[in-house]
Amino acid sequence: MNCDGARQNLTLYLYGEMDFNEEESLERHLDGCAACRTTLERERELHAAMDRQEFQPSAELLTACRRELQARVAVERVANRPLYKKLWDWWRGVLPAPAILRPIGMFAMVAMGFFGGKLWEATRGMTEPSVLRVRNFTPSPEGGVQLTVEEVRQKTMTGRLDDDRIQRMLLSAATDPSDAGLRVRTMELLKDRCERSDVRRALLHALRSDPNPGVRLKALEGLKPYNRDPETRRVLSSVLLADDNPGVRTMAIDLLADNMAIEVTGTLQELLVRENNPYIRQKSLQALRERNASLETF
Amino acid sequence: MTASAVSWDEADLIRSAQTGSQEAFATLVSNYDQGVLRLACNLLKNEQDAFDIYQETFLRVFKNLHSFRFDCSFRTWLYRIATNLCLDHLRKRKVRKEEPTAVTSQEGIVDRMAVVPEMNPHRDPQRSYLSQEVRTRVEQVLGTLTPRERMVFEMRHYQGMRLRNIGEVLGTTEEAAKNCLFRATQKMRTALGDFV
Ligand SMILES: [Zn+2]
Repeated sequence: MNCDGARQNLTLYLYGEMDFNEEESLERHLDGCAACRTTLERERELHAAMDRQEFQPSAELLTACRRELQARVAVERVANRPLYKKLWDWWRGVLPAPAILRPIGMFAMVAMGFFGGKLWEATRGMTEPSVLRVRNFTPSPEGGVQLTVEEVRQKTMTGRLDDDRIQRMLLSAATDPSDAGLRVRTMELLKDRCERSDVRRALLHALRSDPNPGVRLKALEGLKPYNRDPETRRVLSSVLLADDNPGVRTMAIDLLADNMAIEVTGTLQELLVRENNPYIRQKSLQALRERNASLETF
Repeated sequence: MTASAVSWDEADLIRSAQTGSQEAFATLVSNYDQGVLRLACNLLKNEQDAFDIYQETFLRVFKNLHSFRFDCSFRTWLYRIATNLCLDHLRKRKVRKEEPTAVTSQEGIVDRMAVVPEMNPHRDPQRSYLSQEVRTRVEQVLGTLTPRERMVFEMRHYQGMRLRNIGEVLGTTEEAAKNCLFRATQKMRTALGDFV
């Protein structure tokens, strides 16, 4: 290496970015060339001068950044939750209800909590039975609340279970956010009618997004014979990885373990990374062994 | 870079964060956020701007983490987001001629960091007039670098990243990153030649 080549490479040399042979050849040149050694020293000083320019952000700035990020992420998380989940959280946070009352559902609870028995008194004495149902509410800062109440006249419908009209009513009851108890009982009826694709869709929807684990378990029961259907498999996989109820996850793995699809193998492997429940872990390991999938990474 | 660049611990952390673990996401952020904040502070020389870049970077990480596929290291992916935001900011600033690195006062050109003393709490008060002068010059030169040269210089000199990795972050080759670094240090050398 000559002097020109050496000087050109001093920057890379100081940053340790030369390959072994080039560095070797530069060092040999430096050994025999005092002028280039002096240039190297000047280059080192330049580096040191630049080092002193480094601006270290203060601990306060870092703390402020983290605090703000935490708040923004929390907002983002809430913003991306489905509406009924937001309301569910709100309800759970604001009105800690006795466990026995919980299945009644959010809207009914609000009515009970704010109105107490008055609602029922108001409806007494009417000739036709009617139900006042809270459809919306706006809490005010002074502790009051404004309710949008819907009055529903009750009517009795009778018909066969496979009657279209009855099915449609049942499907809408399956998603009625006001009454988890009613949703559980609807699932109970619907779960034996899964040969209908609209019923199956309602069950998959409930399994994916109903806030009540009892409803999700009933939906799972109904979907049992369909565990090889790709759409059902997909929902089962996401439930297995994300549902917060161990009972629901246990049932999901029981349904998925028989399914030999390659995607299920991936789900089972991923499950091992995050699952703490010993039964579910055991079942997942066993299923993976049966399909000779690699366990090495775990 | 291959998937092997992601350590297993980190891969677990990323997967947990991908499925919504707040704790995993917080750990991931705290592993990298000082480096990102330092990069933004050094490049933008302004705490408010650095604060904004920090927020935008990690919010994007939060929103897009589900699409991270482990085909590069997490650090590379994160720095791609952060450097793009910084580059956009530098380019906009250049166009608008807003908040220049060096401002003109009655005494001539003054470096902004000297005007805003609280910017660097770690500054040595015993620093001689000569190094004050060097500092001013370095700041001036940094102001004349293109955003890209500036970025490569920051990442190599202050963040200690390898040129290959810098190329990867900026979506270019190691050779192109090397040329940027050459141009940046050459400008520094010219400006500081008689001081060091
Ligand atoms: Zn020489």
